[in-house]
Amino acid sequence: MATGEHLSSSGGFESSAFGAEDGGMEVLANGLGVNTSEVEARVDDGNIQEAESSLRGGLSLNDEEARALLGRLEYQKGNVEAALRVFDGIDLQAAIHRLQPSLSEKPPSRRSRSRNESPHSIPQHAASLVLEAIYLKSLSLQKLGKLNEAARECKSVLDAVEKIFHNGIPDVLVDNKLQETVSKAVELLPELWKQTGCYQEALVAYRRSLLSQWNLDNDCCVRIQKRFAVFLLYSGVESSPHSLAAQIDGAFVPKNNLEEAILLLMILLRKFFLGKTEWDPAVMEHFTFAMSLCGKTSVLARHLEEVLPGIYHRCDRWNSLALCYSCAGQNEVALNLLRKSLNEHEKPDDFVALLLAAKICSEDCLLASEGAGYARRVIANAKEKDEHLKGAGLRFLGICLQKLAKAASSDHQRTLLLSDALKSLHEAINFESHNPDLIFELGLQYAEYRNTDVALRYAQQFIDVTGGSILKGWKLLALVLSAQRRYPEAEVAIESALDETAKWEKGPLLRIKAKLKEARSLSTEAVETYRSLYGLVHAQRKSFGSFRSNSQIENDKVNEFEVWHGLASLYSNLSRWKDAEICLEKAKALMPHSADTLHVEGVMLEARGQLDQALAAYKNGLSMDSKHIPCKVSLGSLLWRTGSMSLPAARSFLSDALSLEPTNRMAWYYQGMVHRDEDRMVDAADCFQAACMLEESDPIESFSSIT
Amino acid sequence: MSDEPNPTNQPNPPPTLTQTLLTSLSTIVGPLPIPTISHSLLHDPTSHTSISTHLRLPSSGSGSDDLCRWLYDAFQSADPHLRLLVLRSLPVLSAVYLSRTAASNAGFEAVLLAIYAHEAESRAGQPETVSVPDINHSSLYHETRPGPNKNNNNMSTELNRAVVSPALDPCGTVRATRRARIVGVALELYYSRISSMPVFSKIEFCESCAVWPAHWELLQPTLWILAHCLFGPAADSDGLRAAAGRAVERLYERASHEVNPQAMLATRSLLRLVELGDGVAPPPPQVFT
Repeated sequence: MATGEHLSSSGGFESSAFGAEDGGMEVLANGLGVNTSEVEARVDDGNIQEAESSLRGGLSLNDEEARALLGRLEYQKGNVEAALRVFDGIDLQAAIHRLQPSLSEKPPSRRSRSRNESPHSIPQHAASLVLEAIYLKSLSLQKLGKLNEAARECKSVLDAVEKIFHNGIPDVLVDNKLQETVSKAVELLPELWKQTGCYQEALVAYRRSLLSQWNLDNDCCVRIQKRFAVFLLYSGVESSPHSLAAQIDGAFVPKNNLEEAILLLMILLRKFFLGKTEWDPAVMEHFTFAMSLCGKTSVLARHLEEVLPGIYHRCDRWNSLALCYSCAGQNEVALNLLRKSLNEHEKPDDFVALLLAAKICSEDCLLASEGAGYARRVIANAKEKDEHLKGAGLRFLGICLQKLAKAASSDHQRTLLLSDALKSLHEAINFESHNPDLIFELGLQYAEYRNTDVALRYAQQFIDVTGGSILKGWKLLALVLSAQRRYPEAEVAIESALDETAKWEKGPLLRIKAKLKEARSLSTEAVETYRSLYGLVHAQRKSFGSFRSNSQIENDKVNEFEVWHGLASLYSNLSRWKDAEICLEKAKALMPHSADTLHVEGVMLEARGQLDQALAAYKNGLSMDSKHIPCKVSLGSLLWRTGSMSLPAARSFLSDALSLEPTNRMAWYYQGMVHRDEDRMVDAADCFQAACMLEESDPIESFSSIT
Repeated sequence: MSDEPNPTNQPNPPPTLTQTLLTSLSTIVGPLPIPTISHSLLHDPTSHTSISTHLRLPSSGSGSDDLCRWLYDAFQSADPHLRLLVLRSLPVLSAVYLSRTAASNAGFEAVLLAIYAHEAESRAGQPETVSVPDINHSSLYHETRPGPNKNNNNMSTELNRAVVSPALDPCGTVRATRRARIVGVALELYYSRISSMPVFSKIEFCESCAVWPAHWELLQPTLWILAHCLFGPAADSDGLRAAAGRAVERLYERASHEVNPQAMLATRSLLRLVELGDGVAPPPPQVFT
């Protein structure tokens, strides 16, 4: 029988295996010793009383202590049931009663404790023995699967400790063994409640272990804090709020599970950062999970930045930070971090970094060329088990090339880039045939390419795969139909979209609807639609609190200015100058320096023959926004009208406009007029042809307004 | 069996609403274990399988579907055990509902809207928020309380308020753009009762959730549920952990395809925790014989 092993693993008790022939061992207590084999023989015979009295006689112990020792022996040998029989005879309440006064009356001084024979060490030792026995009883019950009883016994250890030490366990005055028993019981109790499925009790036990004065050592406290945080995060058991007593001196008191878990994880991370305890990677992962689900990745980023060097590879840290910042809307910071980690001397082939960098760049014309580079690296490296990522690489390549095409310096280059972009997107669809993002992108590109039949197919497919749940799909469908001059069908699409959207999302759809009515010369209905849009905008402003945020609504919110501006241009097209002016004033009051209002003003002035003022309005518009295309086109046309002296200036405004928006039909038309007047008939014919082709595919609102 | 009271021979009290509902359930999905009590039925896998099979039929989910009507009535009843019974079937119901784009889902939608309305009412439409604590500010769990020179009392934690679940506007019908939110709110209620849910319902969730639309409104409660299945107190039972692990792997793969940083961070952290073997419950207590 390997009794020696049992003993050494029990820890902390003054028992030792002598390796005697009879396999017995010696128990030391109060400076006296007894050979255990005699006692054991009696227990084996089922004669506990006799065994106990033999122990008591040999060691001058009382009943409880003798039983405690005896039970421990049985426990250490693995005789759990025998141990329980012995432990059952311990009267804990009586023991507490006996131990209470002697310990709480007058705590012994540091000096007196240095001598073993101090008068207080004996009650402490006795307390230690009895409490340990109850702790072992709880463990025995746990081993026998009697979890509820185990938890109750374990709890009684803690209750007893609290009764004996009214003011918490003193820092240095306590016997090591007692402290060890207390710490173990504190740690065990919540785990027992968890195993029994009594989650509320587990929660109370966790809080008790962290908030009462148990004098736990740092590692034990860290273990409990972590387990509690994990329990709070994942148990799905909502806790009762902390009592008022806990709310002291303005300290932060968590209101719910998630807050409590986050607080504990932050405290653990702080301990790691200060080097107070050993790094545990799981804590950072639990924290990452919690913070990303709350959408507070900027806070996560701050904690990642504090992690001591040497724990994460620097590239991994940069990449994680980039994910955090990108999620928090700080793409520029994210991209700078990714550039570092994708440097050829670091980890240039990391897929997560490459894809995120490609995505960020694909959203910005000025970064599209860099983004295409990242996307090509994804495509080149996506092999074998990573081949599925090729589709994502191709998708971002397509989007980047399309952005590059917009900024191309020549028609030839633009055409090449656009056809490459479409090619990439088509290749991508072989990998991700059901990816809604990809289907939408194809629809949008074909629409911009003015291949409206194909665009229509993709728009419908997008609505199918998303079940009509994404607003931009409906907008694309309506605009493509409007480009095909199928206004009534476009209106049907908008009406279905209005049915499928909640109140606050209807704004952009109503705006399109108003323009469709206008295109069909149904001006009264158009005005009516603007009126409902105005009502919506007002209701929205009134009822939106700070937390009523929903990204889909935020991105698509129609503002009051757009309503007045739309109405002003509607009235000016109808030559209802008075109404137009009123609306214009309203728009101006909301946004005094807007190129849009100045443009409508110019159109009105021009129509009423006030050409000089109109010219000034367009020029002012351009000084507000040097890339305002409608102002450039109107200025070009007005200069062309004023005669041959101004033709070169007109030409330059119009080609400017065309380089910004190659599908602007009116710009092609006036450019053709300018060429004709300057006797360049071939150029003029080309321009008119372009204008003609575009006229058949002009949407009522630019496709780029969709996203 | 008729619910009408028998005038000639009436020694028994009239059946309670719960009993009536349980009787009508057995006429829809077949015999239930006897005695049929709502709280014992919750953990009965046979009745669950019958309900799931019924929900998966091509004809299910219409406005005239008896089972949907039953689920609706049971959720509206005041019996908390019946409500749990309805929530138990939410994984299958949501999966079937979200996989269908065609109409004739009025039955499913009625159940989902009833759950949504219940949540909207109990939250008074208000958003659910958490305050992310400032670690420099003293707290309940700080080991050292601040000294007398604490001038940080006014430090605002408002700045770090996070919206975990936005405000709930009333919804009379399921509009397509709100569909994900409505199902998401129902899943939030499922999560809040998850400690009472039987394992087979959770496994069903794990097996069906990975193919759902990628709206954050759906993904967020999905991830809470999956994380519970991985690291919750009952995670080691009957292959639950493995099923949840597979679902998270698929969600991570999809998040990477979409390059959705928030979903990538969340799913990757779960996968890393699985790899670290963290949160694994200690082995069950060994019984000495």
